[in-house]
Amino acid sequence: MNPADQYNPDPAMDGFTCKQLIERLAEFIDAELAPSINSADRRAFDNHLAQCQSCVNYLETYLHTIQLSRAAFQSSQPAQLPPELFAAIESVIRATPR
Amino acid sequence: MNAPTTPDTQQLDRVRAGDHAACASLVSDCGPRMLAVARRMLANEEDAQDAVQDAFASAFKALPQFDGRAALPTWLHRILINTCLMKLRTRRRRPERSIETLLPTFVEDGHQTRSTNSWPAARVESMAAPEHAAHIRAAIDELPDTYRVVLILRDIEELSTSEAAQALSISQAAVKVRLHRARQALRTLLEPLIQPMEQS
Repeated sequence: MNPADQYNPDPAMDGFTCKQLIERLAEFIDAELAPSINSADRRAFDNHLAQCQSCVNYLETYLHTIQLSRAAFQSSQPAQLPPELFAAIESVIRATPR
Repeated sequence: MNAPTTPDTQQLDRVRAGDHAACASLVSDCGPRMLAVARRMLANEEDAQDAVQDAFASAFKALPQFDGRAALPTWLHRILINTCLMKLRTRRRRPERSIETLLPTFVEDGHQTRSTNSWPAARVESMAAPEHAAHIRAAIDELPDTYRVVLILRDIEELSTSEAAQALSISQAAVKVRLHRARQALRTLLEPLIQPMEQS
Protein backbone atom coordinates (compact mmCIF):
# COMPACT_ATOMS: atom_id res chain seq x y z
CA MET A 1 0.00 0.00 0.00
CA ASN A 2 1.29 3.44 -0.84
CA PRO A 3 2.12 5.17 2.47
CA ALA A 4 0.16 8.20 1.37
CA ASP A 5 -2.99 6.05 1.33
CA GLN A 6 -2.83 5.82 5.11
CA TYR A 7 -3.29 9.55 5.43
CA ASN A 8 -6.41 11.41 6.23
CA PRO A 9 -7.60 12.47 2.73
CA ASP A 10 -8.39 15.98 3.95
CA PRO A 11 -5.90 16.86 6.66
CA ALA A 12 -7.49 20.21 7.43
CA MET A 13 -11.11 19.07 7.70
CA ASP A 14 -10.85 18.83 11.49
CA GLY A 15 -8.86 22.01 11.99
CA PHE A 16 -5.43 20.42 12.48
CA THR A 17 -3.10 19.21 9.75
CA CYS A 18 -0.50 16.51 10.46
CA LYS A 19 2.09 19.30 10.60
CA GLN A 20 0.13 21.31 13.17
CA LEU A 21 -0.54 18.25 15.28
CA ILE A 22 3.07 17.04 15.27
CA GLU A 23 4.46 20.51 15.90
CA ARG A 24 2.24 20.90 18.95
CA LEU A 25 2.49 17.34 20.24
CA ALA A 26 4.55 18.19 23.32
CA GLU A 27 1.90 20.65 24.50
CA PHE A 28 -0.76 17.95 24.44
CA ILE A 29 1.19 15.21 26.19
CA ASP A 30 3.04 17.18 28.88
CA ALA A 31 0.97 17.33 32.04
CA GLU A 32 2.65 20.61 32.93
CA LEU A 33 1.57 22.25 29.65
CA ALA A 34 -1.71 20.48 28.90
CA PRO A 35 -3.96 22.60 31.17
CA SER A 36 -3.25 25.65 28.99
CA ILE A 37 -4.79 24.01 25.89
CA ASN A 38 -8.24 25.28 25.00
CA SER A 39 -11.11 22.89 24.33
CA ALA A 40 -11.29 23.71 20.59
CA ASP A 41 -7.64 22.77 20.11
CA ARG A 42 -8.12 19.62 22.19
CA ARG A 43 -11.09 18.67 20.00
CA ALA A 44 -9.09 19.35 16.82
CA PHE A 45 -6.24 17.23 18.16
CA ASP A 46 -8.51 14.30 19.07
CA ASN A 47 -10.46 14.52 15.80
CA HIS A 48 -7.32 14.46 13.73
CA LEU A 49 -5.99 11.41 15.58
CA ALA A 50 -9.31 9.64 15.05
CA GLN A 51 -8.78 9.94 11.30
CA CYS A 52 -5.04 9.75 10.77
CA GLN A 53 -3.24 6.48 11.56
CA SER A 54 0.13 7.98 10.62
CA CYS A 55 -0.21 10.65 13.34
CA VAL A 56 -1.40 8.04 15.85
CA ASN A 57 1.78 6.11 15.05
CA TYR A 58 3.86 9.28 15.39
CA LEU A 59 2.33 10.06 18.79
CA GLU A 60 2.88 6.50 20.04
CA THR A 61 6.48 6.33 18.84
CA TYR A 62 7.16 9.78 20.36
CA LEU A 63 5.90 8.47 23.72
CA HIS A 64 7.98 5.30 23.31
CA THR A 65 11.03 7.54 22.73
CA ILE A 66 10.51 9.24 26.11
CA GLN A 67 9.92 5.88 27.79
CA LEU A 68 13.08 4.36 26.27
CA SER A 69 15.28 7.33 27.16
CA ARG A 70 14.13 7.05 30.79
CA ALA A 71 14.67 3.28 30.81
CA ALA A 72 18.19 3.70 29.43
CA PHE A 73 19.33 5.48 32.58
CA GLN A 74 17.36 3.56 35.19
CA SER A 75 20.16 1.20 36.17
CA SER A 76 22.99 3.66 35.66
CA GLN A 77 23.61 4.66 39.28
CA PRO A 78 26.83 3.23 40.74
CA ALA A 79 26.56 1.60 44.19
CA GLN A 80 29.35 3.83 45.45
CA LEU A 81 31.82 6.43 44.27
CA PRO A 82 35.17 5.24 42.88
CA PRO A 83 37.58 5.26 45.87
CA GLU A 84 39.92 7.82 44.28
CA LEU A 85 37.04 10.22 43.69
CA PHE A 86 35.79 9.74 47.25
CA ALA A 87 39.32 10.46 48.54
CA ALA A 88 39.61 13.58 46.36
CA ILE A 89 36.29 14.91 47.69
CA GLU A 90 37.37 14.20 51.28
CA SER A 91 40.54 16.24 50.67
CA VAL A 92 38.44 19.11 49.33
CA ILE A 93 36.20 19.00 52.40
CA ARG A 94 39.17 19.01 54.78
CA ALA A 95 40.62 22.00 52.95
CA THR A 96 37.39 24.00 53.08
CA PRO A 97 37.66 26.77 55.72
CA ARG A 98 34.80 26.94 58.27
CA MET B 1 10.03 28.77 68.30
CA ASN B 2 12.82 26.57 67.04
CA ALA B 3 12.20 24.38 64.00
CA PRO B 4 11.78 20.70 64.90
CA THR B 5 14.98 18.71 64.78
CA THR B 6 14.83 15.97 62.14
CA PRO B 7 17.49 13.50 60.98
CA ASP B 8 18.08 15.85 58.01
CA THR B 9 18.61 18.93 60.17
CA GLN B 10 20.80 16.94 62.55
CA GLN B 11 22.95 15.83 59.62
CA LEU B 12 23.05 19.37 58.27
CA ASP B 13 24.11 20.75 61.66
CA ARG B 14 26.90 18.18 61.93
CA VAL B 15 28.06 18.83 58.35
CA ARG B 16 28.07 22.57 59.00
CA ALA B 17 30.09 22.03 62.17
CA GLY B 18 32.72 20.23 60.09
CA ASP B 19 32.02 16.78 61.57
CA HIS B 20 34.16 14.60 59.33
CA ALA B 21 32.00 11.49 59.70
CA ALA B 22 28.86 13.43 58.80
CA CYS B 23 30.56 14.95 55.74
CA ALA B 24 31.82 11.54 54.60
CA SER B 25 28.37 10.07 55.13
CA LEU B 26 26.83 12.84 53.01
CA VAL B 27 29.31 12.13 50.21
CA SER B 28 28.62 8.38 50.45
CA ASP B 29 24.84 8.92 50.43
CA CYS B 30 24.59 11.53 47.68
CA GLY B 31 27.76 10.94 45.67
CA PRO B 32 26.69 7.89 43.63
CA ARG B 33 23.49 9.56 42.43
CA MET B 34 25.42 12.74 41.65
CA LEU B 35 27.97 10.78 39.61
CA ALA B 36 25.13 9.15 37.65
CA VAL B 37 23.66 12.60 36.92
CA ALA B 38 27.05 14.00 35.85
CA ARG B 39 27.65 11.02 33.55
CA ARG B 40 24.28 11.61 31.91
CA MET B 41 24.92 15.32 31.49
CA LEU B 42 28.52 15.19 30.32
CA ALA B 43 28.78 11.78 28.61
CA ASN B 44 32.43 11.62 29.63
CA GLU B 45 33.76 9.82 32.72
CA GLU B 46 36.63 12.18 33.51
CA ASP B 47 34.48 15.27 33.15
CA ALA B 48 31.74 13.64 35.22
CA GLN B 49 34.08 12.85 38.12
CA ASP B 50 35.56 16.36 37.95
CA ALA B 51 32.06 17.82 38.06
CA VAL B 52 31.08 15.81 41.14
CA GLN B 53 34.26 16.89 42.92
CA ASP B 54 33.73 20.53 41.92
CA ALA B 55 30.08 20.39 42.98
CA PHE B 56 30.96 19.09 46.45
CA ALA B 57 33.67 21.77 46.73
CA SER B 58 31.14 24.51 45.82
CA ALA B 59 28.54 23.04 48.16
CA PHE B 60 30.82 22.91 51.18
CA LYS B 61 31.95 26.49 50.53
CA ALA B 62 28.32 27.62 50.20
CA LEU B 63 27.03 25.72 53.25
CA PRO B 64 26.88 28.84 55.47
CA GLN B 65 24.43 30.36 52.95
CA PHE B 66 22.28 27.20 52.66
CA ASP B 67 18.92 28.12 54.16
CA GLY B 68 17.60 24.57 54.50
CA ARG B 69 14.40 25.30 52.56
CA ALA B 70 15.26 22.50 50.12
CA ALA B 71 16.45 19.08 51.22
CA LEU B 72 20.23 18.74 51.23
CA PRO B 73 20.29 16.18 48.35
CA THR B 74 18.02 18.45 46.26
CA TRP B 75 20.33 21.40 46.89
CA LEU B 76 23.38 19.31 45.94
CA HIS B 77 21.59 18.14 42.77
CA ARG B 78 21.02 21.76 41.72
CA ILE B 79 24.63 22.68 42.37
CA LEU B 80 25.77 19.68 40.34
CA ILE B 81 23.49 20.55 37.42
CA ASN B 82 24.93 24.06 37.35
CA THR B 83 28.48 22.71 37.58
CA CYS B 84 27.83 20.34 34.66
CA LEU B 85 26.31 23.13 32.58
CA MET B 86 29.35 25.30 33.27
CA LYS B 87 31.62 22.45 32.15
CA LEU B 88 29.59 22.01 28.97
CA ARG B 89 29.95 25.71 28.20
CA THR B 90 33.69 25.81 28.76
CA ARG B 91 34.86 22.51 27.31
CA ARG B 92 35.70 22.45 23.65
CA ARG B 93 32.46 21.82 21.84
CA ARG B 94 32.12 18.57 20.00
CA PRO B 95 31.30 19.06 16.33
CA GLU B 96 27.52 19.09 16.36
CA ARG B 97 25.46 17.42 13.71
CA SER B 98 22.54 19.38 12.35
CA ILE B 99 19.26 18.36 13.92
CA GLU B 100 17.20 19.43 10.91
CA THR B 101 17.66 16.16 9.00
CA LEU B 102 16.26 14.26 12.00
CA LEU B 103 13.00 16.20 12.19
CA PRO B 104 9.77 15.18 10.42
CA THR B 105 9.03 16.83 7.09
CA PHE B 106 5.71 17.79 5.55
CA VAL B 107 4.29 18.44 2.11
CA GLU B 108 2.58 21.68 1.24
CA ASP B 109 -0.90 20.66 2.44
CA GLY B 110 0.41 19.64 5.86
CA HIS B 111 0.61 15.85 5.40
CA GLN B 112 3.73 14.05 6.56
CA THR B 113 6.10 13.56 3.64
CA ARG B 114 6.49 9.94 4.66
CA SER B 115 3.90 8.12 6.73
CA THR B 116 4.94 6.93 10.19
CA ASN B 117 4.82 3.24 10.95
CA SER B 118 4.08 1.89 14.40
CA TRP B 119 6.81 0.26 16.50
CA PRO B 120 6.10 -3.36 17.51
CA ALA B 121 5.32 -3.42 21.25
CA ALA B 122 7.52 -6.47 21.84
CA ARG B 123 10.48 -4.71 20.21
CA VAL B 124 9.97 -1.57 22.32
CA GLU B 125 9.77 -3.68 25.46
CA SER B 126 12.93 -5.51 24.49
CA MET B 127 14.80 -2.25 23.83
CA ALA B 128 13.78 -0.97 27.28
CA ALA B 129 15.71 -3.84 28.91
CA PRO B 130 19.03 -2.99 30.62
CA GLU B 131 21.09 -4.87 28.01
CA HIS B 132 19.99 -2.36 25.35
CA ALA B 133 20.47 0.74 27.49
CA ALA B 134 23.89 1.46 25.95
CA HIS B 135 22.34 1.65 22.46
CA ILE B 136 19.71 4.14 23.61
CA ARG B 137 22.31 6.20 25.48
CA ALA B 138 24.53 6.23 22.38
CA ALA B 139 21.60 7.59 20.36
CA ILE B 140 21.01 10.31 22.98
CA ASP B 141 24.72 11.19 22.85
CA GLU B 142 24.38 11.74 19.09
CA LEU B 143 22.10 14.70 19.72
CA PRO B 144 23.76 18.12 19.61
CA ASP B 145 24.51 19.30 23.19
CA THR B 146 22.04 22.18 22.80
CA TYR B 147 19.21 19.67 22.54
CA ARG B 148 20.67 16.71 24.46
CA VAL B 149 21.04 18.73 27.65
CA VAL B 150 17.42 19.91 27.59
CA LEU B 151 16.23 16.34 27.06
CA ILE B 152 18.35 15.12 29.99
CA LEU B 153 17.19 17.92 32.29
CA ARG B 154 13.48 17.59 31.47
CA ASP B 155 12.90 13.91 30.66
CA ILE B 156 15.58 12.23 32.79
CA GLU B 157 16.33 14.61 35.67
CA GLU B 158 12.66 15.66 35.68
CA LEU B 159 13.28 19.38 36.14
CA SER B 160 10.25 21.52 35.39
CA THR B 161 10.29 23.78 32.32
CA SER B 162 10.89 26.75 34.58
CA GLU B 163 13.76 25.06 36.48
CA ALA B 164 15.42 23.98 33.22
CA ALA B 165 15.04 27.48 31.77
CA GLN B 166 16.61 28.99 34.87
CA ALA B 167 19.52 26.51 34.86
CA LEU B 168 20.20 27.12 31.17
CA SER B 169 19.55 30.90 31.27
CA ILE B 170 17.11 30.62 28.38
CA SER B 171 13.38 31.32 28.11
CA GLN B 172 10.76 28.71 28.99
CA ALA B 173 9.56 28.88 25.37
CA ALA B 174 13.07 27.95 24.20
CA VAL B 175 13.13 24.98 26.59
CA LYS B 176 9.81 23.73 25.19
CA VAL B 177 10.97 24.06 21.58
CA ARG B 178 14.34 22.40 22.22
CA LEU B 179 12.77 19.54 24.19
CA HIS B 180 10.26 18.78 21.45
CA ARG B 181 12.92 18.89 18.75
CA ALA B 182 15.25 16.72 20.85
CA ARG B 183 12.55 14.08 21.33
CA GLN B 184 11.67 14.16 17.63
CA ALA B 185 15.31 13.79 16.61
CA LEU B 186 15.85 10.99 19.11
CA ARG B 187 12.74 9.25 17.77
CA THR B 188 14.32 9.30 14.32
CA LEU B 189 17.62 7.96 15.68
CA LEU B 190 15.88 5.15 17.56
CA GLU B 191 13.72 4.09 14.63
CA PRO B 192 16.39 1.95 12.90
CA LEU B 193 17.09 0.21 16.24
CA ILE B 194 13.43 -0.64 16.69
CA GLN B 195 12.60 -1.33 13.07
CA PRO B 196 15.78 -2.55 11.36
CA MET B 197 13.76 -3.36 8.23
CA GLU B 198 11.60 -0.76 6.53
CA GLN B 199 7.99 -1.93 6.52
CA SER B 200 6.46 -1.97 3.07
